[in-house]
Amino acid sequence: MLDFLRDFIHILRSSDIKISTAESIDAMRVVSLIGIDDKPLLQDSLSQTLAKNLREKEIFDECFNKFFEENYMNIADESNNPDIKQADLDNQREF
Amino acid sequence: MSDNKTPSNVLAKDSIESIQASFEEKGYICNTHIATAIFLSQSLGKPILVEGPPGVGKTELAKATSDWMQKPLIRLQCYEGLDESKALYEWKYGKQLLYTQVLKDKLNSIVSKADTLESSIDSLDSFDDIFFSEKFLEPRPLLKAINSEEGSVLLIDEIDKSDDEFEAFLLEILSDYQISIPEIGTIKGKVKPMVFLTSNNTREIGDALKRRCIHLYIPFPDSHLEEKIIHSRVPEIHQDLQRQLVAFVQNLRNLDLKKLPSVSETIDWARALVLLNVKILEPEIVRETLNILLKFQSDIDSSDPEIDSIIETAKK
Repeated sequence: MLDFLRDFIHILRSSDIKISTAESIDAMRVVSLIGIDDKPLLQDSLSQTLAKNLREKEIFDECFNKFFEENYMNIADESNNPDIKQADLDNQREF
Repeated sequence: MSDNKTPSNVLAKDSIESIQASFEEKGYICNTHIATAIFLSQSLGKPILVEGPPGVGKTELAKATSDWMQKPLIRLQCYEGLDESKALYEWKYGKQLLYTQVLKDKLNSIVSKADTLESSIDSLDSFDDIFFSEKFLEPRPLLKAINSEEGSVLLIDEIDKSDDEFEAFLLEILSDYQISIPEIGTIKGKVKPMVFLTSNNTREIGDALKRRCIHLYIPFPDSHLEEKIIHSRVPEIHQDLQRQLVAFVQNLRNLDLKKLPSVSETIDWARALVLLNVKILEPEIVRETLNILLKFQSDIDSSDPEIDSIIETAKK
């Protein structure tokens, strides 16, 4: 599940949104907290965690919509597999 | 983390909806966007930086949260030149002075026992810690919030008005939630306060501070939300008037004005119209009461030619 987040954060960074490692970890916690099934909720939560001014929020929304159109099926597949989910969370602790 | 019966997002969604409902009960009408920020702040233990135009309810949000959590609200109003002694703690200089005067005899007897200057300083030195103990410490908002036994809601209002130095100093407090006072030692809070920082964007807040916060932008509410707010704050208002006045204010915000009317001004205007026993918007009464919404004469003048057409649109 968190592979998609890594890719997504990479896209945000290359679109000129500054994201620190600490903020990436926050984003992971957000995703494990709220899941990914509710798209508007996920968008809202990640935006509040990662985009820190109005300009960044606009870029964020654009990237989010584009990214999810292209990748939604893959993400849903990954998140339905509990083993992957647990493994990802274990990786996260090693930070 | 979650099993198939109750996926995490359902639990989160429930919490967010219950936050929204409880806030509504307390008279603070918010959308899911705001409720999500409160939920994330609590779950991640991070402060919320609230930005948005003046008068959209940034400060009210902190008050409503304090009411909802049933924890005291501790407010720190920022201004240019705000420093640690006003934000963190201060020694009660007057009390220190008064006590040394009152205790002069006692101090004399201590000093008189010593025969040399050096030994009298030594014997005084062994007592001076008394004058720098918690009895003589005046806690300011930040220390109060950190030291609070049952937890608190800390509102750092208009952070954009403070200097860069103060912002840097806040970074330290917000990452460790502890304060070191040289004469006493380190004070570490038992319960992390819930922290709100508000900004009117008069200057850009530093990246380092933003990174530590959840970022919530509150824009002017849409007409649906604003009508709900008016209904909650001015329940006696007639439904038609409520719809018309909200539509009027929404359209007024589209004009090029120095200062756009805020939600609190819409509420004031609604109260005024109810007091004046107005049933529907008419150009005459609008012109007479426009100074409740617009606070610059130039704004009142420049909007004047548009008033009639805005009222017509609002009535539709």
